[in-house]
Amino acid sequence: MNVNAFLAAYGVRILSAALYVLLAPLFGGLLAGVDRRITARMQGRKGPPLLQPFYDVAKLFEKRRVSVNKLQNFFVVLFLVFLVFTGALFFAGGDLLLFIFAFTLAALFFISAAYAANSPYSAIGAERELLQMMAYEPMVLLTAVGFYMATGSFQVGDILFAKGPAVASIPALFLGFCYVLTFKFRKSPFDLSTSHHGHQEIVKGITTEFSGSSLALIEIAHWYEATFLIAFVALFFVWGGNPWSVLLGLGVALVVYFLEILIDNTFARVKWQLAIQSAWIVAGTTGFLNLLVLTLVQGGAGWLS
Amino acid sequence: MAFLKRSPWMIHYDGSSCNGCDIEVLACLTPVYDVERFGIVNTGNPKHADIFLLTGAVNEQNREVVRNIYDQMPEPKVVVAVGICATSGGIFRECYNILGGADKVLPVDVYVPGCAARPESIIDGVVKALAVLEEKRRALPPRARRGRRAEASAQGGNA
Amino acid sequence: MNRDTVRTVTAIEPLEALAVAQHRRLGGWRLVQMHGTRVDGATEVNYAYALDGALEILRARVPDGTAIPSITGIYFAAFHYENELQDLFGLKVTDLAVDYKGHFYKLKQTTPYRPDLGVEGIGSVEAPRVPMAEDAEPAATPRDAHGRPVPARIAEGITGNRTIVPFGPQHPVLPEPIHLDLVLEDEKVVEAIPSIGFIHRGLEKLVEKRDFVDYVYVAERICGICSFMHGMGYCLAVENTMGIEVPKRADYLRTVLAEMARIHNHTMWLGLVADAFGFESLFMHSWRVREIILDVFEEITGGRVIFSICRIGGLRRDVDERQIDLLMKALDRIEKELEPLVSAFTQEYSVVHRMTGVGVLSKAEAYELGALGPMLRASGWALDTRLLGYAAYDDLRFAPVVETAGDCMARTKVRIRETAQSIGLIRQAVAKLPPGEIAAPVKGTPNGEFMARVEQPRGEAIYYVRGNGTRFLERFRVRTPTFANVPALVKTLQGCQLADVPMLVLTIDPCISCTER
Ligand code: SF4
Repeated sequence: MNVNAFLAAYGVRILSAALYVLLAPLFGGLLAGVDRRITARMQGRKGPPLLQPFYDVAKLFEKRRVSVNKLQNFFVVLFLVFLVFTGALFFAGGDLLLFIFAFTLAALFFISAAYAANSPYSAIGAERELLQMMAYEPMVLLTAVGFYMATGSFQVGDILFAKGPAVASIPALFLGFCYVLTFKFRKSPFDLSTSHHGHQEIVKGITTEFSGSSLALIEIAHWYEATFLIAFVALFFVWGGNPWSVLLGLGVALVVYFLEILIDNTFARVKWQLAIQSAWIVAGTTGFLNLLVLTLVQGGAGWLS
Repeated sequence: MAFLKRSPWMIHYDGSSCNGCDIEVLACLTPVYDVERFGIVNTGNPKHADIFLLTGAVNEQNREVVRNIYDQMPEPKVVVAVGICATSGGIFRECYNILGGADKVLPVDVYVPGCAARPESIIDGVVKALAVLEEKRRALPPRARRGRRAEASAQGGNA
Repeated sequence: MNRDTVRTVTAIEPLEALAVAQHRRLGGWRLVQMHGTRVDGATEVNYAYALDGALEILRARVPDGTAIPSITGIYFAAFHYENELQDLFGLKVTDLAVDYKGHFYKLKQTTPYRPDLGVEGIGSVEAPRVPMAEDAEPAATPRDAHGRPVPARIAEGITGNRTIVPFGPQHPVLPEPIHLDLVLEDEKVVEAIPSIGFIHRGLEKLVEKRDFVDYVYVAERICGICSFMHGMGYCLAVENTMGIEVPKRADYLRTVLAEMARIHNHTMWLGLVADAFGFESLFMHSWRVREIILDVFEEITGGRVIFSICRIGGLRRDVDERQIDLLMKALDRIEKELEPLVSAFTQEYSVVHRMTGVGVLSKAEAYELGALGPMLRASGWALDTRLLGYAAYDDLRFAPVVETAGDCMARTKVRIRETAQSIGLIRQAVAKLPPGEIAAPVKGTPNGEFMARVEQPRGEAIYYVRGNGTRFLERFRVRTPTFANVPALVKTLQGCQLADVPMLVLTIDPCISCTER
């Protein structure tokens, strides 16, 4: 295959992945800024400047790092690298299953970093993060299966060009996925392992022992993560490569994010037992029902392909 | 660039105060005063903090605790003594178990008077502390040497 | 003026204390407090018992060098007082159920009331600190994350999946330092060991250096949250010792201010407990409501948290029509703004889920462990010191707020309903507010003793003063509600989930600076 053919085949993919790598921090950071302002408004306050998350991260780079050991920082870097990779995979139109496993791997590096710190708070935080993963993973996997059933492919690139929006055939899965998003965005009631607000029984939980640039890297990693999660939500609404549908998807994703903020501000943090139970029940009902109906009514996978 | 000034994270500790100043520190976070407008966040975690707000005249038992918190904070950092107790021992100066102010245990950068210190003056003190913080940042050794040094000291301090 | 009249002081022999305690216990008396006083080369140990309006002090004179028997076998809650006696008076108490061996507080100067025994600066020499351990520390002391020694008994149990998580003294959900070593089995708390003393200043002894009239300002700073009531409690005690008749108007205004302080405290508490279970916006809104009452305080007294308005004989400032008007408007606003918050606390699913059935304290336990205030009333006891009728409470109509479930939700409900009750009490008091003087002159010096009881937002507080005819009191003693609620806290912590710890700590509404003085 010569260069031209290669570019023709993969150019768009590489371009969009590259754009993601460059722009995601910008988008994610802004999103965090908007989040903090909206949260403040909901609490009867004015809130920080829009660019506050960027100031915070820049500040963290100015600080000295007090790390408990080198291993910890190594894991943090791996966490970031894998998150970037996960997102790039998604934006390059890659395989959803691979995407999910890369995502899980990244999360595991984060947990390892917290364990490496060897402090009771971060260890408990890490434990809770594992529990949270147990809670949301089934739903995420079911969603991937749902996409396959609806569009006949696990490839993001193919799903984009499906005949209709995936949400039309997997609406329940969409709702279920939104439910577990609360875990991923670390919002109340499911901000068990670490919280945006520093008032928790385990201090800052999983991030307790990170400081300075390590903490900044974690923050940036979260921006990347938020960006591809938003894109993932948008994916439910895209069909036929239609740019308007992309906009629609993005709009819906932002609405979902707003609802997450609202939920964050109207719920107390629940305990892990309830978190897992509810996530599994949601996954069980929405996921299986939706897939069942899909199989029975539409006669198997690939209805939209 | 001086981003420290735009994103000061604070930690608050009650070093044997009467509580009056402490609730005023907390009141700074709430809607009427809302210090998050200035990017100030109450972290509650010494390892994330830049500004240490210490209230109270510090008693014997708190001596170690206060030092411990201070040592866990990464450089650059500043200490703000909130209230007359923290400034000089205040009304409790003559009590048998009081060391007599934050500066008996820590290098204090800004003193906030008042009994209880009003939220306005606490915010004022924090803003003053930002200037000191910026000076301290400039005085730090360059980046290259930073990481290694800090890690060495952390191993001593945190084990 | 005060229904709290039946009070006796009886002298007993030190060894009699046990039998007396047994007897009182059977009679259903409550151990109110214990304290020591130095009198002519001996230590007087006072045991105060209460039953309804009756208050009885039993006084044992203990010559130096003699030990006293512990009554913790009968009243467990006495372990606080007895450890304090060991610490401050160098008195030996035998058979203490929980013996901190003179290290209950870590003092700069040991046994401050016995300077002849005391050693200056022992605290800085790294005194061995072995809470709750019977024997000396083993050679290699296990230490927690704060570098504090972990009790040997606990350390032995740390095998397999057991870990110790330090909770405090610096902790984001705690506005004040208290330290708990939590022994965890996964996320379950097997045991909680409190250590206190982070705020112990020793202000009771300051009374020997401050004129009794000026000491009000120190008394107010026992705690910045109930500062008004601390000032008032001290004044009540001194006024009763000196036989000062407080003008009616001052009594009414004191009642108004005290109830305002209760509203302040309870709204603040609602915010803190919301914060403890991770409901940040509820915290913010509760504190926004709290600012409304603080504005009125500022208008009337000039201070937001420390008021310095109470003085012996009455008040230092009068309240005018405009201020009353502001107060009434503020009450209306609070009522209105509290409404949605109340429904969030009592109906919102996740909040109800977090609080119902958590930290249950049965009716019997609450009494046994000496719990007080909302903690006691949430477990079904209609005990409220205001019923004794100090200040103007005798002229006002109210009934104690009682809930029966005994869990966190019940305690929250008690406080919510008490806020409403306070609003009602203020309206009643303002409607009846008599004209006239606001302070009686103070003549002479206190000679004698009195033990005043005041219902603070957190429960009953005791103020004991003893004068000797000079301008300096011989002894001042305050026993605050948190001090009495700690045993109940330790009980509710056993077997709870780690995630519930902040909430359980907060539902006793801890005020550490009150407790340790
Ligand atoms: S300065 Fe005053 S209000 Fe502040 S802690 Fe000290 S005594 Fe309390």
